[in-house]
Amino acid sequence: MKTFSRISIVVALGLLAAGCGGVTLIDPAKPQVLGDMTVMPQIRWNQFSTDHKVWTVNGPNLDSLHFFAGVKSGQPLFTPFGARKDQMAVFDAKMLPNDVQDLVVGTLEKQGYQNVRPGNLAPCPFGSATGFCFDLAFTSPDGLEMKGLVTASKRDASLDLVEFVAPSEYYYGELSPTVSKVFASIQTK
Amino acid sequence: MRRILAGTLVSLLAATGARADDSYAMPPPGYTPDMKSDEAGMWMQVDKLEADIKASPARIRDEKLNAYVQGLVCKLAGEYCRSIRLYVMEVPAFNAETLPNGAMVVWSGLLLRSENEAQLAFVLGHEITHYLHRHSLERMRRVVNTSGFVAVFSIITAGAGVGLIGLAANAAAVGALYAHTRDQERDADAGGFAAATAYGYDPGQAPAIWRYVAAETNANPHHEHAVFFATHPEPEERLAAMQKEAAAETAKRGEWATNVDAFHDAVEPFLGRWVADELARGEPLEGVVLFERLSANQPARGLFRYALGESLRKRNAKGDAPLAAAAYHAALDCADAPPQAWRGLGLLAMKDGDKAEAKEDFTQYRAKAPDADDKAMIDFYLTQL
Amino acid sequence: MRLQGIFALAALCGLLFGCASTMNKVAAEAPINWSAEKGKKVLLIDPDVELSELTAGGVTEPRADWTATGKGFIKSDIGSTLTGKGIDTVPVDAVTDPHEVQLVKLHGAVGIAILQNAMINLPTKGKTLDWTLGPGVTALRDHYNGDYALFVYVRDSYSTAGRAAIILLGAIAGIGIQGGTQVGFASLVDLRTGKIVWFNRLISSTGSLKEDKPAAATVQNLLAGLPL
Repeated sequence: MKTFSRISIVVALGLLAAGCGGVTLIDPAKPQVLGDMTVMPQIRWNQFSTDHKVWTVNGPNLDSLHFFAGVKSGQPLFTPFGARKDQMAVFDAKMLPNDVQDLVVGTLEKQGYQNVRPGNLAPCPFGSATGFCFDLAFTSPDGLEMKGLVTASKRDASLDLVEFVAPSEYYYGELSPTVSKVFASIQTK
Repeated sequence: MRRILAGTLVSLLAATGARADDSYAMPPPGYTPDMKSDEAGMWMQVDKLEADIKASPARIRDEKLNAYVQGLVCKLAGEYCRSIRLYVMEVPAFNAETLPNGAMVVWSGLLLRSENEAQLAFVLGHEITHYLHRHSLERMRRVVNTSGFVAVFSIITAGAGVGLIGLAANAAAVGALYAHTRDQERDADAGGFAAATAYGYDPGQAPAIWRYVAAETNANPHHEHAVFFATHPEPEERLAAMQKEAAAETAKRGEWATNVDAFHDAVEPFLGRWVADELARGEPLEGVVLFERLSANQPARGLFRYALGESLRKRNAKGDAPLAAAAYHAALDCADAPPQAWRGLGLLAMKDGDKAEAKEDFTQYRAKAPDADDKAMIDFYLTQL
Repeated sequence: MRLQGIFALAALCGLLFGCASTMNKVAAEAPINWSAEKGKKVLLIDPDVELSELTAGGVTEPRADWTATGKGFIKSDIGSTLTGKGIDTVPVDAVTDPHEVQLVKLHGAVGIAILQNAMINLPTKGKTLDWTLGPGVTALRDHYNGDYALFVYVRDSYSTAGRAAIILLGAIAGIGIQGGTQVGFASLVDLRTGKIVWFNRLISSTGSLKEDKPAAATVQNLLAGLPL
């Protein structure tokens, strides 16, 4: 407990700025609509809304499930609190899955994470289409090791991408089976 | 190389003593500040930061590499060698910094960008001079004496390994405050120059490294002030002075050293990883400038040509695609041909609609890199071609 | 932790002035029946303490001498409080094993999550204290032979000249605090399961860690409700 992550405090303050009390409960029984995606939550989640929807069980600086719905050409996945939009890498409709993987890596680096290593890029079902998925390993600015899981699909020149990240110690292993089920439940229009 | 000379150290300090206040000169090795002092408060802050750095997963613990960089630091720091504790970190940006308590951090991005030991020596010498002249303390007192802004210590510790945070507000706000003054920069340039040239390092390498790094950052109009350049204001104006200095000094000796072989030997095992780290930053505008230079500097190293290909492909400006293809092909002609160059060619061809070419390239990639972790994806591409 | 950030946290939910406010939470599975726990040991993870001086210009300057004194008081007061209850303590002053370092860092992240939850309550957590470091904590248990671990974090500033204006400089910058403000938290982790069984947040504008008796009072506030 030597230092607080500056990012975490910023996340906290950013979320506060987004509206103290802007958290809603996600009921596992009801399908949730996020852009063109509909998912079954599997468990109870807490949902934050910033420029995209974020679900968390224990707090957004611990585990977080990000839904980037309908990202268009020329747009970044999102603009992290404190960064400028023009500094962010953007999605392009001509991108291949390898390029989207690079986009996710670059976005994490801009958030302050280090040594971001993607792996196991493969085709994966995304609703009724074939999308792609990969995993992530990286380190927080405070040196906390983290892992992640991403699934995505490019349809009609826009990108739907869902990203889960959590500390390697306990949290990732605990929630990734549930997250995999959320991914498997994705349905698209 | 000469032995460490106490005289060199004295002349180092004397040569740069053009400041009014020599009370900032670091007292003899073994010094610790009075517990009640502001300096002690500053040390306490950075002691904690050092503990974090020491335990950080980003730390490169390889003994051989550490011994190499440590050896260089010791030479340049003279009798203060024992006051400096070196930490080499895997962070893909140009940075080296000495904290006020003697902890010295060197990022792998600096090692990747150096072409030889001389360039590294000038940068390390510059940083060691900041430490020996206690510029952090001087800066802190200046900030404290002017009202209005809190968080002095996040300023001082911001550079030492907390990652490339795109916090624009922070960088802009603190850049003005914790930037070394121009006097301090000139001071550190002079000190580093004196120390390194005393050991016979080629003076021409001093302006070279700073010029290269400036070129890289200037290539990116959206460049957020890198941690390093927030603390070291744009070096262009110092470059002119440094070129002059270098030209004058060069004439004084018949032979100068760059120790390029020792340097290559030390960094070789890490280049693949450091190049991957740099590419992962997602800054292709800077990557193109960097890898163009490194390819020119070591034409036989396919790794750099591959990295140039990747940067061009991702920059994707008009005309970049054929340039990227050419770079990948050049990489494959080298002895260390990276198999990922085939993947790069495949991705280019696929985007271009050339299915036959893409099929051939991906097939080569799968053959040359059978355990690639994206093999499932590439196999999928092949089914589409 | 950047000093201004935590004061910003405090300010943003209006907890700045004139009160010693503690938020004491005990996890659902505790109360710990301490008499049944005789012989259990508590690891005292080196407290993360910083005492600073608030200058007239609004700058907080860490003071190494005050910090050393304050940390000394905290350690000895915690030690004597626990010993007074018949509990064995084991000081853990430096953690170097990489896995154990990850556990300590994870605790930092969990501590933030708990603090954040106090500001913006997560509906799934409600009023309960329901966080864990996971079963990996058995590494700490085995290495140091402890059954619980106590983590303490304190930031304290003292103005010695004039009054400072409160400035909120956006999300990153800090706030000058009037008078002495203490911000801290303490948490108790069960090293058999990794669960945080007790967490207390302290925000106070009175109190001093620079002197013996006031420091003891601060520690009492910090450990209020400790279920040992």
